Amino acid sequence: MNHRLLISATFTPLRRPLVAGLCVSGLIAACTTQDPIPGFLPEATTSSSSSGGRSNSSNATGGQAHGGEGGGTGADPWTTSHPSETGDIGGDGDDTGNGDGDGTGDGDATGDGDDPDECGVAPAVTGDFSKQRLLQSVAACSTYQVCLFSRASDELDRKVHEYAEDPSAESLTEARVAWGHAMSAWALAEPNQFGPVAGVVTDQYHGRGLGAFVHAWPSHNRCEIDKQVTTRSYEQGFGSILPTARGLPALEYLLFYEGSDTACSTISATGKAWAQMSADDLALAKQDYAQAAADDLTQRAQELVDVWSEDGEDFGAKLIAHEGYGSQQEALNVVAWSLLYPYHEIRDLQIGPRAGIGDALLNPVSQYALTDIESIRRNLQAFRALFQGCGEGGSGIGFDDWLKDAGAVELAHDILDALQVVENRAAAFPPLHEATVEQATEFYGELKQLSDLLKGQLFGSGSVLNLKLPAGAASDND
Amino acid sequence: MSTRLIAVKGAFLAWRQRLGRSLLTPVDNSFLILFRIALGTLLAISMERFVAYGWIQKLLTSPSFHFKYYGFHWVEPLPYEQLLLLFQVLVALGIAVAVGFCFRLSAFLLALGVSYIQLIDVSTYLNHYYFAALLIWILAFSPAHRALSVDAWLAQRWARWRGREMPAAPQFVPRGVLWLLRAQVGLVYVGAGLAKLQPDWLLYAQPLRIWLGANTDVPLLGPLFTLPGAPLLMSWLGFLFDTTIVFWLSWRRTRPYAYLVVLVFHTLTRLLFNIGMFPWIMSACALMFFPPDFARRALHKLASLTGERGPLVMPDVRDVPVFSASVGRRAAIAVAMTYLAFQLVLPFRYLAYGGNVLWHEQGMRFSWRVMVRAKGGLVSFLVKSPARHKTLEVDPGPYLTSFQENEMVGQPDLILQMAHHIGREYEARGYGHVQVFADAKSSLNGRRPAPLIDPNIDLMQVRDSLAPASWILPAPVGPPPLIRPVL
Repeated sequence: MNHRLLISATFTPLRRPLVAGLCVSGLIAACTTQDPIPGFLPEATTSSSSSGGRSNSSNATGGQAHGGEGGGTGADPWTTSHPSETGDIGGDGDDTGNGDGDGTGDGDATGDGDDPDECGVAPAVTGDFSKQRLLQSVAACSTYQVCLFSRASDELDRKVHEYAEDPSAESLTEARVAWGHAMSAWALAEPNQFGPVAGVVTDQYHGRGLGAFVHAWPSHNRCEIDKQVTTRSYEQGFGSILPTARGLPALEYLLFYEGSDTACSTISATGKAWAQMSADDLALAKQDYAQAAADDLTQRAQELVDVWSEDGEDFGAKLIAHEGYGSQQEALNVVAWSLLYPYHEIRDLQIGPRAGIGDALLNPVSQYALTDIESIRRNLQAFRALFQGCGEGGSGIGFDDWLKDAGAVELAHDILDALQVVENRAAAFPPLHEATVEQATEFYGELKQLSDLLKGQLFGSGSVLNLKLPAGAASDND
Repeated sequence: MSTRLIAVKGAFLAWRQRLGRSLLTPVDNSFLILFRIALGTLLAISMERFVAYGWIQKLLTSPSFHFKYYGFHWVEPLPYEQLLLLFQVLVALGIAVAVGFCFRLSAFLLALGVSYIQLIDVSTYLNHYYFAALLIWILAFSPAHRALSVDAWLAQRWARWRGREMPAAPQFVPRGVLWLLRAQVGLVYVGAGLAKLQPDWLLYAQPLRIWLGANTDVPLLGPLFTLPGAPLLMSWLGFLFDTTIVFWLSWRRTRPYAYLVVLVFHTLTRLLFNIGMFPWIMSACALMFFPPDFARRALHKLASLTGERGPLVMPDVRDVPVFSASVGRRAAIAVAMTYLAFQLVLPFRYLAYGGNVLWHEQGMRFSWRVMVRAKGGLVSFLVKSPARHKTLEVDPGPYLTSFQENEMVGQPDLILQMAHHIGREYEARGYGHVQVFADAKSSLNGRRPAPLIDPNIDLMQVRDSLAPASWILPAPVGPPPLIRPVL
């Protein structure tokens, strides 16, 4: 049986998408009115990430689409839904975390409506729970998410070229908005740390590290980008260029940073070359490298799409068959580790340093556009899609359905409630660089509630699903 | 002295004499040779696995902090390169033991090395590592190298070179050696069985339910695990297997079938659980319950099938006199009896602590409680510095590897060690005399997490000891959840 048959939402994997214009509807305002630095993005709107709270599992009824009222009203790439998306993870989420989308559906989960573009709507795998269906859901969701990212990176590529060909404030703004869309799409896809996106340390079976070429965070190295700007060694190909000089961070720097200094030492070859370039030469060199980096980014995005696509490598089929993972449980282990993203990447690496908790140094994901909180909101959406279900309002099969089916209903609800609290906090949170220590501490505490549930009960030796923690997976037991 | 006392003493002495004579009765030594080959080989493979899987680094040298065994705080890990070399030496020693080369020294050094590795960090404790260490120590003191070994071959060559008459390779050992090994193996099975004599296992099939849930994709068997009652049935079968298999293996009529069951059982556990070399070691050890000449008979039969009877002569044990009760042998018997008595008592020391041993873990180690608990949780520490009027929440994560942290959260004595380490560190940082409190919640066999350590007790004031620990809170009451294995 074709594993895609159970995916009820219209969904066609992207190959080489025709680029759809992104500055549509609410985005037009963003394209034309936003001041990129500072405040390239408007204040976050709380409606943008209202989420589904607990959705009823789709398994008994064939799937119900819940909620759907969570559409953003903001006019920026983060708070406004992509045309292809189902709005935000919808539902009537309330402040208490008990939002219960009550939209009714009679089987197939759908999004807000028909989607005109190639990625379709967020897929919701329905039917009775089974682990295979969970893997199907994960595969479908990942395919959808990399499709969105690929589409956004194509748009970014187009806008960067337009800007390079006609450097104006308007074309720069459009390129910046396109970067914001791409970053937003990446923040949704990146937490799924398995398969092609993941490094081999995270997914020792199928990790390819492609994610690092899109965004190398927590590694940053502006000097490496400056080196490419001055030496133009990228013209020989991107094969030997470090991830820190590529992808979204490189484009962020090239599009958003308005200074004329270099991060390289003045006595280095790059520093000396930099000093000899005029302002116009530098601007031109930056635009040229931005075009090359955008081209490279689209290639990496397309590579991701090809790996997931049914017409390409069809990694989804491999995942569903747990090919190479040794067992279904091990495949689920690796997939489930992505659920620890709010614990490590958000709590410990992003919020902790701002609250003065932990040992991590302050190291923003977004160094120039300052969009970290928007990324966190999207990261949390990705979490919900994986944990609860990829469809609208968390419909479809997710890890919560596994917990419920196994009899651990209370834990499933506790995690969803904790997630809701975190989502509410993130929705109302100021840009990270403006957050006070007290705000960060409160956010940290709520993230800790969620991560404690994950680390202490969903994973580890006490896991009711027998999900191992990453480092515990490979040693003997008795 | 009363007549009755004299009679009792006389009876005791007679019994002791009979026992001594029985223990010194010669039995075919082929069982011991087979055991030497098997154990040496399996230990060599175990050591190589450690190297191949990168566990030297992951488990032994990566941690910046090591949990110490009570009384062995002085044991420190060697640097990685030296540990790697040690493991390579241990692989060679395992092979040397298997072929019987410099056996006494090889086995002694192997036992020493295996014990050292286990003493580096408590978090790596596994029953089967401990069992293997015990076996190699016993083997090191046994005459397992007297036949079918490089040592025996060299001795013959040496004698021939010196023009002396070649000594025939000894074909017998005192029966005490056989009984000691059988007793040790039997204790593991029976101990593992008695550990299952508790409600979680027998009434609620926990934690088996959780573990079977991770194996529902196993061909043919997997779907069966999801049937109602299957986990409970398997729990009972496991309990009955462990508690009675020694009996079935000891009875001549049932022995072959029982061994088949042993093979099926350990194949299943190997298939379902990540328990390393344990199934192989136990399958080899269960052969100990066959007659001592089993290996020789098997080889003899094999040789007769190929028409080569030559050296595989079946000795007649009836012609061999009982081994003399020399001082050395009497001392060996005394040591072995003391050892056995210790092994008999050790697994039951938990009774002295009361409560649920799976929760407080006092008496948990060295008691063959194999695969009877799934325990997880979270621990964080509060460090209070009266001098600085400060209270800090300290995450143990930076001090430990994920593996260590995962092990620590369910083991109170490890939490105590961590608390002491953190406290000492903060004192060294200039926080003055600090108090350390633990916020530890643990889940046992699928239950929701419950407080494990009294959060109001300053752990800096608690000394690790063998006494009952009042700072450990009682186990949660109520049954574990009936987690269903899901397809």
